Amino acid sequence: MNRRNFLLNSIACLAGLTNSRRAAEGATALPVAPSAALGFFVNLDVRIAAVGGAARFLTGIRFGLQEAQHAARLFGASASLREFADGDADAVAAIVTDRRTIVVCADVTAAITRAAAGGQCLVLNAGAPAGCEPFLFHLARTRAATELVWHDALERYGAAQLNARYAAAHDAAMDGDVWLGWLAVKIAWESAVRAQSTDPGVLAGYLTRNTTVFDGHKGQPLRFDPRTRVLRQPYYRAVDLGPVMEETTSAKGACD
Amino acid sequence: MKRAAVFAIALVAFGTNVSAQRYAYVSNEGSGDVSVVDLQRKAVVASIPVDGRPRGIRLSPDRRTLYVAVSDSLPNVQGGSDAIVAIDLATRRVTARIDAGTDPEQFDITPDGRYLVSANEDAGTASITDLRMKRVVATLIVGIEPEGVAISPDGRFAYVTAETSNTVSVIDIPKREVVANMMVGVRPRGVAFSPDGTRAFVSAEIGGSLAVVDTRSHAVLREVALESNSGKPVGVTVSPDSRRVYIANGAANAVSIVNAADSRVIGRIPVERRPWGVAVSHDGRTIISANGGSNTISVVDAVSGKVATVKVGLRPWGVVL
Repeated sequence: MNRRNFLLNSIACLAGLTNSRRAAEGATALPVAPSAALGFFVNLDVRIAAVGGAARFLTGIRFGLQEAQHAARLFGASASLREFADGDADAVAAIVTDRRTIVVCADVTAAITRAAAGGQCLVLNAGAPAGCEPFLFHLARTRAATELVWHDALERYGAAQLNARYAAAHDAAMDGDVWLGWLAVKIAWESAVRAQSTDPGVLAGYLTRNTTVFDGHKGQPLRFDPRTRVLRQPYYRAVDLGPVMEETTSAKGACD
Repeated sequence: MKRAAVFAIALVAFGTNVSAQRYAYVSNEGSGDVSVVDLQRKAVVASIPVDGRPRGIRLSPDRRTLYVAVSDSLPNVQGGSDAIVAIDLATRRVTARIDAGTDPEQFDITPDGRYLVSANEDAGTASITDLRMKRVVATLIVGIEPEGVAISPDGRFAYVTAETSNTVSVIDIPKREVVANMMVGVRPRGVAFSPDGTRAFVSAEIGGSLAVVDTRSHAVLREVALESNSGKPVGVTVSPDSRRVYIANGAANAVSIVNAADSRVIGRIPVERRPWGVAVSHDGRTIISANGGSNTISVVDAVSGKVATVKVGLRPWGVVL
């Protein structure tokens, strides 16, 4: 197997900016014991596989994992990531069929399509919507060149805080690719926690409920269209960062 | 529910006397000051400048000191403006700047006035500050992007919301450690305990809901939908008799009223644009919202149902009385 980067499941090694800043402030360690009230989280192990994608997308995924691991540790749960190149066909085929791993990708390959069609894994696709399989969810609709999903100059709705956290952790600006990677992991982690499962069927059901929403720091609840499984969200004009539109109707996807 | 019905409820609960508290204090994050509002005259009678962007605002238990969280525009860095300022209400002047970690946004004070617990938004921590020594005595890691803080009436626990991780961390103040964490609605903001200490209520801005928490087990009992989940609730407060919960719904331009006993939404009070902070008088007869979108506060007479609007500073954020 040609894994580019393998298994980042150690919380201790993910001491990015926030932890170093906390250490500088003398912050005490996270409590080891999980909440008794939420003991059911203890054994939750959220496994995420990143397949393909540009470097900035992967950076966003890793940043998202840092935050997921922070949240997981609050409850004694865990979140881990394995990264695969698109060309690692055998490895990808193995991971997408284990029924325990949430797949995040920027390109829906044939192996991913087959696995998603068979309900062997839940897939969160950050690339252009391609495929209408019931376990395949798309993080954004097809966009014009003048439309953005994110920009580091955004400030409202907690965008400034998210941009600042990422910039401090990676010494770089958060762009749309990074944001999609971060959002993919956030959705994967939150869905597993709230659904109390990593089973693809349970997760797909959770994502298509009309009460399921996510916060992408855009000021609006983000939710998947149950028919197209494309995430409804605000987009921004590239010129002045004004809102292009707020997706309140069915987003166009591969199912149309 | 129609406004008349809302105030009929309030009338039964609180009688017909005029509210005893005379002044409301409003933090204005746009103009960098605190408006002192005379509730009898329905007018601003003083404006107290603070150095920085004021948001969280609380009164000391003896009501002699007003504490205001101020921060600067530099995320992740503790700048010169990041502090809790203490304002002597007799002179209406800033008398101290107290270290409370980076970017303090919301905080609360123990009933004995000894400790202040603040959320450090960009550091992902909560700080416990000893107000006698005027220094931070503990910094605890909580959820990501912490925001709201409330201390239980017995002074034992502090609840700290975290917007990105959708969590509430429970701090045991005497032990100075996080003892529990809860998942709540999406993007939790405000939190308030009932005065009887049995319940806490947490608003979720993106989820458009209110979590009802059992404070004995630190567990969420239920999530209550507000304004069809589209109101963007932020500020929360509870009536002195622990029977009503008031929630400022920023996008709905209204304050929701929830019956604490059964978690039913029993009314709404239309106010001006983007109500953010909300407070209720000690006698329960006056409800005030800080309306960031209109630079006003709405003063609601719970007996007559009248809503008076008072112009304050720019982008009012929090309110206490």
